[in-house]
This record gives sequence, structure tokens and C-alpha cells, in this order.
Amino acid sequence: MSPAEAAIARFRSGERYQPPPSAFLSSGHIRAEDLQPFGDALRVERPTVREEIVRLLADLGQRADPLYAQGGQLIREPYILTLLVDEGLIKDDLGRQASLSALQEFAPANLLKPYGRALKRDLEEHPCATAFLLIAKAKPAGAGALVGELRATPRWSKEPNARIAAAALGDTAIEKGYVAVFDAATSGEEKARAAKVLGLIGTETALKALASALRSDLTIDRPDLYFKRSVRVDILEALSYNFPGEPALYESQINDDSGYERAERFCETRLGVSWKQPRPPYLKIGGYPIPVPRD
Amino acid sequence: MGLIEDMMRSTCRLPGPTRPGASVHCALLRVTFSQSTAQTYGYDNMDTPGDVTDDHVSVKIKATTYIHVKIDGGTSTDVEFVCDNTSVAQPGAAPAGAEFDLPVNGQDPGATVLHARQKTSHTECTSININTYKEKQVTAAVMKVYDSRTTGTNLRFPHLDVSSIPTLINPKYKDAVAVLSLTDQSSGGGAFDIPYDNDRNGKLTWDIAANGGSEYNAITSQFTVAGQKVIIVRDMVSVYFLAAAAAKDATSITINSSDSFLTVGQSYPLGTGTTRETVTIQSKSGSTLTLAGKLSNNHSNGETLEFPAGGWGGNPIVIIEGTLAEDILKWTFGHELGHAVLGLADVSATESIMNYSQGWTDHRLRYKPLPKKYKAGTENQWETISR
Repeated sequence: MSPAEAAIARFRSGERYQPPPSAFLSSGHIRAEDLQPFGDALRVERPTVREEIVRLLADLGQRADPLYAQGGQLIREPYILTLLVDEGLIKDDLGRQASLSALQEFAPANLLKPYGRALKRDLEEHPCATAFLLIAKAKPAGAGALVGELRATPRWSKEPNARIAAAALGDTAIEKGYVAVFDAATSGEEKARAAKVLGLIGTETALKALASALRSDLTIDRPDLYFKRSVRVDILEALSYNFPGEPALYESQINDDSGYERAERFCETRLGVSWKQPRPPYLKIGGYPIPVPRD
Repeated sequence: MGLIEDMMRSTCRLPGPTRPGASVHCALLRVTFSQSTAQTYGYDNMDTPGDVTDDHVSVKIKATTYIHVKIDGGTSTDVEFVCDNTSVAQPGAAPAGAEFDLPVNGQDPGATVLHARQKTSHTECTSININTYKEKQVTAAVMKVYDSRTTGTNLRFPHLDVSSIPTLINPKYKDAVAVLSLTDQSSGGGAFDIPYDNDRNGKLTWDIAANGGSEYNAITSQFTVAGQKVIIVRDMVSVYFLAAAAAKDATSITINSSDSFLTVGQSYPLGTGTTRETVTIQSKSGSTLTLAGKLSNNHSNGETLEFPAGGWGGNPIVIIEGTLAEDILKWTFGHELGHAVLGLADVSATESIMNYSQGWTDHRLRYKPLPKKYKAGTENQWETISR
């Protein structure tokens, strides 16, 4: 029994995927033939099995990427991307939901371009909240009209992700509104929420707005959750969603002020933004003491 | 219990559009919803076992859970099951018989109400609340750490089976449609030997003013993967450092932080070895602490003032192994990641994994709002986790 067949058997017995997928990484790279049983299984297995196969593939794709060790969270392996689109989206079930999430969160936008037609068809046939975000990221030609049609229906007229997709696909009025919310945010929590939305929109305007706030001194201060975080971490995460191959934007690469400086340099070069105010005092994520005894 | 008491009295009002005052003769029919042994996500009876209409069921998008149904005075052919919002959840086909598990299929995130109605008259028999959530993936990498230069840093569970932790915790996390995945940073499952114990005290010395400091940084520099991380050490001490020497009989000291966690009126250990003593803070002014009494010993610049911490939040989270039993150590992962990733607060209720103390035995995540431990108010844990 091959490692893939063994994994499928475990999923059939009700096990959920648990990392790491060591059996598929032992040679240091992914071999398509090792994964082929997953493709076959994705076509025929029940939803819970399909879901776990997709979770395994998504994790494997990230770990196999050369940028993983630096803190990258992206899937660039072509065979896995093809499996996630061609087989993962084949049925409207748990497996599709997992595929949509994996593609939306981890596939670089430029690598989704070849699948534009398939993603549009998927949204058209089975609209759902995550499918709107995926189409927003992929930005396939003609998707704006489809999103517009869906938003005209009562079911999707109030869906926030459909609105985000509309902004991503050229509705500048909506895009402007989201940028205004981001610019006007006065608390770390508000700024972080708005940053996430701008990252999901991913237009040049949205990304410039994000980069322009890279010297924000706002923080998310949650002693009740034992952490304090600079909102710059959230802004970097939103930028990294759009530039997943750029290590300077990875949270794990920010260990002192020079880390923020490198991130800024990337934004200056790539997005042409600059800042008038100085960088705020260094903070990435700070902790709060957990009471003794935890008690 | 769901009970059509008015049916028992032979008449009841039709729901929906109908003539004012119209009524219909109803058969004697009683439907009871309850928790199914086959349920796949959460069920919260809100601690009101006598009233099912306030009960809450959770289910994942596109997944199926089950609710137990008992029909007195009829069978499934006499009852229709309907959700108010079918884009949130839909009941599956009811099996034949008078007692069965009804499938409920999650659709899109949201809340709705599932009704049981008499088929002919559409009269309400009972109802229950259904909540559909997108599954929240809680992922973290775990590094077990010791320093071979100091035996005191040796872990009691250096081969703690990280993969067994989700097996323990996920049956509880799934109440709120969350799933935990942990990766042991060590491919062999052992502990990492990292030379972090620079002061050789057998503990991770946490420099509070530096948000961890050099010993912590020695570990984190070896732990650069993305996402949430958890470090396990044998023991830890959290300290401020004296910013200036303090002489015997002095009534104030200066520490290296102007914004400390120290509390006026509380006592803290100052120094180490034979000159170690306990000082009580009378007042704070920036980095200067006025003491309630005179110092008994001389203390050099750089000596430590200890602050009691059971660990530190943030990323990585630091968990102290200490003398914890192995299973309590494992549950601690679920608790601390509940804070860091799920955004859940400590609660004082003892029936939750988010109870503030260790050693609890009921680890549910609940829809019923639970009183917070360190802040005013309550928290509905299912709803705190984003849909």
C-alpha cells in the first residue's frame, strides 16, 4: 500500500489529517506519482474523505515550498494546484469547501490565472462565501459581471465577501469605501479588520493604502488574551496575502526594527509609497503574564 | 421538552397567513428534540434541560450533524422538519419510526431555527436553534526545549507525543466547529537542545522589560516557521532587573521598566542566593518603586526582581512543564491556543477548557455565555470564534 493509499484508508476510517505529511516529503520534493491516488480518490470518495485529502494536500504544498522554512505559507506546486481545482471543486461538499479555502488562502494570485475559467464556473454553479473571496484573489477576466449578477439576487446582496469580490473586480466605489474605513480607523482592532479586507481586495489602490499605513503606531492590546500586537503585523499579513513570495513581508522575518525596514523597502519599490512619520518604537507581538498558578 | 400542550386540549392556532382566529383540530402529538449520540459537532442545552427551545446545535458548512427526535402519538410521517433559513441549514430526510436521529446539514454560516411541525396542520411542535460555522483551523508548531549545559532544564516529558494532543482536544474543540492540528518541530519527537540558560539557573529567565530577552531570543531564533508557535520549557522565572545598585536600609529601588506589571501592596522576591529577600511595593512612580520597609541586604545593579507568571502569551506561547501531569500539560495546549488563536477569554465556569485554572475535568466549549474570570461580563464561546 502506497503512502497515499494508506492515508486514504485512514481518512475512510474516520481519522482526520494531522501534520506533518512526512511520507510525501522524504525525498525532499513532491513526486506527482506519489500523489496520483489522491486525484483518483477526490473524484469518488465521500465528502469527509475528500476534505481530509485536501487538508493533507494543502499542508504538503506549503511544506514542500522552498519558502516554507523562512515562514512562507504558499502553495506553488503545480500538481497540487491542479488537484485542488480540477478534483477538489468537482462536488459541492466538504472537499470543495476545503479546496476553496486552501486555494484562497495559499495559492498565489498569479498561479490562479490559468484556472480563471474553472473558478468562475465554480462560483456561478455553487456560489458561497469563500468562492467570492477566491474569485476576488484570482480576478479572472469577466468575473466582475458574474459577481454583479449574483449580488443582484436577494441571497447574495448582503454578503460581505461578495462585496469584497466586487471591489476586487473593479467596483471602485466600493473599493474607495473600504479604503476610507481603513484610513479612518482609530483603534488597532478596527485597523486590523479593515486591513484584512483590503488584503482580500488586493487591488493596487488597496495595497497602496495598506503600505502607506506601515508606520501606524496602533496596537491590538488584549491582556485578557495575553498578547499585544502591533497592527503593522496585520498590515504585513494583508500585504503578504498578495505578495506571498516576498519573505520581507513574513511575520517570522520581523525580529527587530530592521525587519520592518526591509518590509518598507519592498513596499517603496513595489508600490511606490513613502512615509513622512518615523517608524514607531519596535513592537511585533508581545506577551502578557499568565497568572500563577494558571493558575 | 417540546410539547404541544394546546394539542392536548384539542385546538391550536395555525401559523402563517390564515383567517383571524382560525383554528384547527390537532391530533395528540408530542415531539421531543434531544442530544444525539451520533452528533458530529456541538450541542448546548443551556443548562435548562426542561426547555429544548433554547438549546443550540452547531454544525460545519456542508457537514451533517444529528439531533435525536422522539415522537409520542405518531411517527416521522406525521411531522415535518423545517428550518427558517434554508441557506444556513437544512434538515435531511427523517428516518421512519417514532424515535430516530434526524440529520441536519450545514449550508452557509449563520443561525437559524429548526422547527418540528405537525404535517397536516403545520402546527408547531417544538424547535431548536441551529448554528452553522466555517471550521476554524487552529494550527501551531511545538518545540520542546532544554539546555544540556544545565540539568535543571531537562524536561520531564521530552518525548511528549504532540500528535496525541489534538486527539484529546478535538472532541471538545469541535463543539465550536474548530479543529486543532499540531506539528512537532522535532521530526524525531524529542526535545531540542538549545543553549538558552545563560544565567544557569535551570530556568528560562524571561526579561519582562525586553519582552522575553536574550534567553527567550536564543530559543525563538531557532524556531522561525510561520504561524502560531508553542515552546515548552521545564521552568521559567520572569524578572525585572535593578537599573541601579540598592544599598541595605534603602526604601526604594529602580528597575529597568517604567511600566511594570507589579502591583502596589504585593510582595516580590529580590535578588538571589544569600541576599535574596522579599520586598513589598508601597508605591510606584515610573521605574522607581517605593518599598514598605527597608532592604535587609545590599543589591547590585542587574539583580533580579521576580514577578510571578505561569507562562507568557504572544507568539510563541511559553508553556511551563513544571510538575504538571502529562494529561494536564496536553489540555494546557487547548487552553492557551484557545486564547491565542480562537480569541477566547479565561472563564470562571468550571465546565470549560477555558476555565482559568488547571486540573479541571470538564473541557467543553459552550454557547451558553460563561462569566469571564478577569474581566466583567460573559462570553459565548461559539460566537466569539468567527463564523
